[in-house]
Amino acid sequence: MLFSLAWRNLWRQKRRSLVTGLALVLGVMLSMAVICFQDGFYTEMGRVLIEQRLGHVQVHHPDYPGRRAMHDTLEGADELVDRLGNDDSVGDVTVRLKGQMLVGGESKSDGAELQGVLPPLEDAFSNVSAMVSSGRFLSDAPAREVVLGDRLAEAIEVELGDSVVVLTQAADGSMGNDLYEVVGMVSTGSLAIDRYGGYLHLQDLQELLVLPDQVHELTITGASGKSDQADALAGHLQETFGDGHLVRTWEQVDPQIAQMLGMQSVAAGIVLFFILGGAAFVVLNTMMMVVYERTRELGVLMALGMRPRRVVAMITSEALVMSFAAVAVGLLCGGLIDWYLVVQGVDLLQGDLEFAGVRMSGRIHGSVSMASIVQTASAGVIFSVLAALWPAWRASRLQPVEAMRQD
Amino acid sequence: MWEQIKARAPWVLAVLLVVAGLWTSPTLAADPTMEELLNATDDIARGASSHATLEMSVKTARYARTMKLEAWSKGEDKSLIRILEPAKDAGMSTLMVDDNIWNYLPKVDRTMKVPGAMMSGSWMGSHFSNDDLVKANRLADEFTGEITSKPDDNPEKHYLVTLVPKPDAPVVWGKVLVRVSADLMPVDVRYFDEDGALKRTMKFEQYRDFDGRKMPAQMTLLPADKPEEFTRITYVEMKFDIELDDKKFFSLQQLKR
Repeated sequence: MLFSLAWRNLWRQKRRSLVTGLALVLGVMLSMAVICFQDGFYTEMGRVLIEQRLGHVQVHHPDYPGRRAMHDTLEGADELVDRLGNDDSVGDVTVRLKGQMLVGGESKSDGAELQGVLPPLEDAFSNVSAMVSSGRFLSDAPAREVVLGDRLAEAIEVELGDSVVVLTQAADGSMGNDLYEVVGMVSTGSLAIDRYGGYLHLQDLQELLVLPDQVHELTITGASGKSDQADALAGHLQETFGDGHLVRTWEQVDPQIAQMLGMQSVAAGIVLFFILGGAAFVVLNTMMMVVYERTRELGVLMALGMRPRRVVAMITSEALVMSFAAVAVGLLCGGLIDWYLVVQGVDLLQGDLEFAGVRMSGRIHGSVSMASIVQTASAGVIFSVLAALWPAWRASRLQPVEAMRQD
Repeated sequence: MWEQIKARAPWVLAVLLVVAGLWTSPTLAADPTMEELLNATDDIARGASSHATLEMSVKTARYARTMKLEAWSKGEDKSLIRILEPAKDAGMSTLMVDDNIWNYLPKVDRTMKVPGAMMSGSWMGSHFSNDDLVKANRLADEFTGEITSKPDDNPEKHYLVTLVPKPDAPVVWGKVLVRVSADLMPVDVRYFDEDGALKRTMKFEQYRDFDGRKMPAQMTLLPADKPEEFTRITYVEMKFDIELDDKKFFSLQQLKR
């Protein structure tokens, strides 16, 4: 009864109700589009960070993350890689040995952290060859080659084909030093690599540091590539490796990134608050007009015995019915936009985006979840009803005699 | 490797003996002043030169190694050290002129200047940092202090000088205790941080005669936080006031030879 009355009342001012409804429809559409895009961006960023940089799980010597001391290595690297390669729950694996070095060209030198990697594994994992800005990545077999961060190469004034000296204290206390040919330069968007880093073949670095068959880090993604399996994989690997190895999920390895990716829901909340909050002001205005126009009529109804609570219900249900209808239309239209965003995607920028040592496509595809749709729809309805509460409350406070006197 | 030595303080004695390799033993009558006691540890025969053969043993939790070195010096600011043994490192040389350090690497036939950010790093795997080798400021320049004990006051018959840094001195130490024997031979120098905790000790032992001058043949650097570790330098031979054309000798060309 109440709702059909509200529906009929809405059509008494057809144009105004349509305009107000349209504001809500647009608000819902816009919110859906922005959230869909945002979710897609965050999801892709999380995927890229995990798949190219953090892995789902990392394995270290228990003391390595705290001290980053050269000696805190995992021994038997070849065997570890073999074992992981035969593990069905493991997708990609890369191994890294790291060392603080003095890297020098003919005239200038600078400190850098060089990573010893197995080129085929590293490339399969982090797609590093796509970030090579000039030259190429390391050969698969050790060949005394080095790939430098492009800004480091610039700082020590070396070019492709030059040989650089690498000097470091080796594990046996001797001063390891050797010459390596610069075969490539990388530009990854990560200062740590571009300005202060580079890559050597794992075996070359093991020789230089006198750390045979040892690595500092195993970085592993799960077989099916979903982020929520990190815990399960970590548990499984901890069992496989035993207590001598520190096994951590990407969230434990980099809580800051985990936190940043967690901002997704906050960002969605902000979008809903501003866009649908704005639309709610249109509803507020409409409802105030409704009360003003019908003051006489409300006076009569109240004089006939309508209770204030009933008046509030009548006005708010008008907003409720309108927002339901508008949200339904908004979801339909927003769904079309989302569909486009998901299937087609939009170009955030031409080409690829390099940041924090990973590379993601400049074309962002949207991502839709039931939760975000429910959130958007309920925010549309709730904001509208809230906006109607104040006019409704004012209406319920009208004095019938005075109200009826109004022209 | 760089974390091993973080302290950048002047290693006066280390420099004095490792680099300059000169030791003078002033023969003084009666009570020495504090300046004279500090000179006993500080004083380098200014302008003089030296040529030494020495052994450096480094013992850390991870490795122990002994190197045989040859060193030349002139004055406070110029020195050259060459590794003779072990074979793997033989020929590696370090040239120090003022506050700069260059390493020559024979294996790759290249010379590398140690950049500023790496000056606090370990020199040749020892407990000495690169800074320790070149920041050869004199104790008396950076610290003020007093003689807190005289030979008659203690059973060891040592002078004890307690030093605190001057207000604007670029040192990390909060306090330095220098012990000098009654015949003005250095005994040890202990370095404390600003909280009063002992950080490093340099011990002097085996006083003997080198080229007519008495000096400690052995110096041991003991980091306080790693009781099982040390770097020990033992002089095998030492010649003073040798002929060196310092312009040519302490040069990058000479470094390669």
